[in-house]
Amino acid sequence: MEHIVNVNHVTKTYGAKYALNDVTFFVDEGDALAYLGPNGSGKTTTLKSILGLIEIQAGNIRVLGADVQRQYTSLYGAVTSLFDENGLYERLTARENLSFYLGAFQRKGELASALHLMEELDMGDEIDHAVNTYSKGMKRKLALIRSLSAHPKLLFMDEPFDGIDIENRAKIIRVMKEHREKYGITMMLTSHVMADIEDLASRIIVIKKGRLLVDESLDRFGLRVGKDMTGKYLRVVEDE
Amino acid sequence: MNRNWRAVFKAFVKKELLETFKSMKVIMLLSVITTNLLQFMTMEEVMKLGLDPDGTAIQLGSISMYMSVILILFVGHTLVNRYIYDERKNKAVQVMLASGADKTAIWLAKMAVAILISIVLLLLTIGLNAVFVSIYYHLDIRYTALSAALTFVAMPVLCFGMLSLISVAYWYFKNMNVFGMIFPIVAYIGIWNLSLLLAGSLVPGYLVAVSLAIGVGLFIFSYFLVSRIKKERIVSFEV
Repeated sequence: MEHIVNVNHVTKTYGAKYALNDVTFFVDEGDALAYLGPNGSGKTTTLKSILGLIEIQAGNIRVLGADVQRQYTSLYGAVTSLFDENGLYERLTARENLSFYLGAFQRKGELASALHLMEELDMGDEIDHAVNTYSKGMKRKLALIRSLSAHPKLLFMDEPFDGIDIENRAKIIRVMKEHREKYGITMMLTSHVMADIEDLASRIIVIKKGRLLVDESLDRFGLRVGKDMTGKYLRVVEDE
Repeated sequence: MNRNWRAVFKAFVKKELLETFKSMKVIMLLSVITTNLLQFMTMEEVMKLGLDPDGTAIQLGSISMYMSVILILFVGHTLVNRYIYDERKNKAVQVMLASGADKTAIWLAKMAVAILISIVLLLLTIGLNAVFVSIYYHLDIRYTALSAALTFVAMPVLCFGMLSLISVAYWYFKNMNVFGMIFPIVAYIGIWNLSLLLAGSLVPGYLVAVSLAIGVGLFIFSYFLVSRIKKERIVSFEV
């Protein structure tokens, strides 16, 4: 069975600096992969390379069977992503942002459930307000809702809970789990908060200075040190 | 241009129209008024020539082409700057490209809206100018085949060709802030000064064909460049 994401001996440099150095891993359908590493380790570069937003110098990346570096439009409708920058249209309302995004990917029918999700995440009163009136956390929530409501096959998230309070974090994790189960969404996310990883992920990869250090199931990773995952993660990155 | 391409194109057209009418009504109105004010000063130069009423009416029609250029370069550039450069800076385009939206669909949709809005504002500006001339000078502007072709077709097409190339530059280069500030001023004042100098002159007919050829050629060339720009180039703003 072909992997849904296949990253094969990928190298990416910025000048003389290796952002990714012979990185190989795969993601299977249904996986929830946590991709961890210190600042500047190559996490965002990996995500952007998989999405074809960055050109790699060596190796190849296949997503859903297609070479994304050459055939990025093959990802149409199948992949959504969430980066630091939410990519929202700030002069438009949440309703207009969602309507635009879902319309572009022929998912207009999902608008009602997207708006319902906004109500669930305590943003029901903000649906028809311009996004430039939102707080940082609210914008992040809207961007998450946008990503989930398109029901992609693959969802890539870079620090998805950045700026979100603890109460809403729990709600969002619940919603993500529900969507993952109901729609079979495969996820790959980066985060610095181990609690989020433990609640969401089934597998963990640790990267440092462009090289993979760990690639195993979360259960195995936790079992090795009696569930002190934060401690284990820190020891892994410090030992290198 | 398959179904996916068309969906992205339509979504962006609707979005740009919505955003523009929400946030740029004042700029559009001021552009129409200011262009008419500049044109008034050029028309005064024509009046000084002391031509007979028919000759004056024809000459006023002839200089309408400068209004086309002034308005389209100013408004069109403002729109292109907003649609292309701003969205690149705030990474909104990155989300769409990462989700597999075709960059040519995105670009063509934005250019289509910029062109549509520019044409509507041009017709408004020329209409307003005609009303003003009728009231102030008690004249009706008269267009010959040549002046109509220049005002309504050739000059707009030439300007849209230039704007399409500028839009590609906005997607390709990182530091376009200075250009973005200077270009509209240069276009406005530069073309207006040219109109003052040539207010009494008649424009040669071959200018229609030359302008059309350059404008269409630039647009096609720009589309080709867009299809070749790497996504990494479009999304990497700070690196």
